[in-house]
Amino acid sequence: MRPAPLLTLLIAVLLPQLAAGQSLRGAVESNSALYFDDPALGPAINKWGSNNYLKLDWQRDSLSAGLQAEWYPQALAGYPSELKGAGLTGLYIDWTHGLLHLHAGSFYEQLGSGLLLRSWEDRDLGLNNCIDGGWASVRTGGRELEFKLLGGFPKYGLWPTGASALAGADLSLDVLRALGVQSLHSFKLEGSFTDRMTLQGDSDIDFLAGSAGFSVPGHLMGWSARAQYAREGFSLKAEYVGKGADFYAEQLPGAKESYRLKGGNAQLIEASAAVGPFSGTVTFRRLENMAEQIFLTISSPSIANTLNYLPSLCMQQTYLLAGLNPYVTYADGEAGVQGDLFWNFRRGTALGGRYGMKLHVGGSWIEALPCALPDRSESHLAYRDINIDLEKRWSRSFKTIAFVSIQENSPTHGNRKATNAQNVFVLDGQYRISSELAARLELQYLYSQELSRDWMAALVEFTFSPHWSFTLSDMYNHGSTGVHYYNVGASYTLDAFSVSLLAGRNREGMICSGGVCRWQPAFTGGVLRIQWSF
Amino acid sequence: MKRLVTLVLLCCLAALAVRGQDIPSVGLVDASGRKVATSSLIDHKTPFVISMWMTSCKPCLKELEAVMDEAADWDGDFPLRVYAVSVDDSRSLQRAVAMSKAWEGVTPLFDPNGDLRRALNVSAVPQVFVYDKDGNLYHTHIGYRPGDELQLLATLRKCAGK
Repeated sequence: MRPAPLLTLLIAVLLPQLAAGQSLRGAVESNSALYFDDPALGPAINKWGSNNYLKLDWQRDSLSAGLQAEWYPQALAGYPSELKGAGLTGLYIDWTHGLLHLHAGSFYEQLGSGLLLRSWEDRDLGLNNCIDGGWASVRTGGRELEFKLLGGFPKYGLWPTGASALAGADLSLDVLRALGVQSLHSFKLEGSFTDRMTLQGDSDIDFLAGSAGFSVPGHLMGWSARAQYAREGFSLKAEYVGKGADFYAEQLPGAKESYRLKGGNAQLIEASAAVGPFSGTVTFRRLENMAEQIFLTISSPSIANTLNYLPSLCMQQTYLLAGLNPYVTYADGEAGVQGDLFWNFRRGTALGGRYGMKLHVGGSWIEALPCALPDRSESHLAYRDINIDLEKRWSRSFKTIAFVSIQENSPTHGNRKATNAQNVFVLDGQYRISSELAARLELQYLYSQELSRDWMAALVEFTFSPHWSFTLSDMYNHGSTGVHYYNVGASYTLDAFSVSLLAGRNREGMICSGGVCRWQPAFTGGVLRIQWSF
Repeated sequence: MKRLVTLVLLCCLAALAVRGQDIPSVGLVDASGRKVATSSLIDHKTPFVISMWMTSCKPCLKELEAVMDEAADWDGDFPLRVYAVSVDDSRSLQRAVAMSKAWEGVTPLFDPNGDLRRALNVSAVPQVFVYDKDGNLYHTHIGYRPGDELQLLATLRKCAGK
């Protein structure tokens, strides 16, 4: 037999054998929109937009590799402008051998709660600040001690900017395990360190710093110390984060700015507990000059230019009107507390009835720090809210949720005393017509004497398990503009394939995901979303 | 040229030979903050369900409630193992822990850095995965509509050969 056919035969026999024991996963997502001129909103900024993603992951035993590609022929309205064209936005290889774990290529990382460092992807926001580089971690056999070193170039848009590089280290110690104590308690001590190295400075920033008599440091150091205690039904976490001196634009009275070097710090305390039918959580957080960018600039307001995670310390609203004017974290300086209490009335109890009932009461209170405001003498309320929702099942087929949200938001982040208040009331009912067919109705009302005053909204949804759902909604600002924001949608799902179409008019405002927000311009049009994972 | 075409075809054959999907090997955390390897969910005896959810996702909570309702009436042919993996980030992680404290019939786990979410290519929640007793993917479904929980449990029984 000639060598070539022999080789072919060998490959034909061996390749499937080599392939056995491997797994290949992937996902395709495409979000495309058509925008139309609308007399109520004005001409459309663009006629269309499309965001597309492909992800592939291969794994064999302890070795894995993958890639992600993104394509923005023209990004959807409201997405960061740097998302343009096509790019291989992720490429990695990952290997675990015993207690050692190595990763080369793109990676996502979060140190502690993310106040010090977080790289993550959120397609609703158009944010993907993954780091192109690598990390190595090593741990002890019982996970008593874990240590990680990381480094690379943060990505901005489709590619690393080359303007900065990042290095970091993380150490985690499970104290009780390390002492050999067999206990239901858990006590961990952790610490992290980061260094953002500026490779290419911004000429505007350098000029402003030079005018003020200082130069911008080439290294921005950050560190955090964390402690975490947990036992059955209770947990307590504390975190302190420090940030080295960085270029800081200081707000002065009369909308003026001065420039100086300033460090930052943050403190976070979280506790949660569960006793009988009750469970609750409370979080305190204080931030001072904690915004950390991939590269310093005074010209790019893009949310993608971020290296840490500063989510708003309040409940993420899910009803249309309750999320109309969300609070956005004031990274220059704020302190706040948020709490949630859940009461689960079990089935068969006096209040729970035959099918049980759930009550949630939550709220937050956030004040701006005087040091971050032009008027240093005092600070005012930045945001507060209280949210109550009561979920009651009346029969096997009928369930209701009553929801109230009272919100007060300062448009100046606490710089002035004036605030905007709004009260939102929602009634949400779901009725199961058969084991496969269900209908849902939401009725909402927003009462306010500020901004665009009163709103009302309604949503009707029909679902046919397991494939189809249809929605129809309208949000009407009858207190000021008289504009209807109507939408009609349909979606079809087959296992891991899903396609949905939503068409209508959408208002401008902040779109939030995970407590981080971006600006969404108003538009009228249709959005087609296709997802498939395999 | 012929060789190249042959090689490409053989590579395609090899790709087809790549077995389905084992559960990816990543670390999650439990309510106490301790790490739980996904490989430890495989017991080689019974299939299991992973339901990806988050606190701000109403369909996710409806699905978990519906599964818990059905779990209360589970006939016990084999142990019902449902792992509700929260993809909440650090902002709402404690809220997810508190919400899941009262759950019965579902084991809460947490994926605060999104490692499992990325490994499973979950771009929107809820998404459920049914794995057989050896950790091979048997079924997955995106989204929730009332009634999906019945399909899910029927699929689980089928996967268990019941």
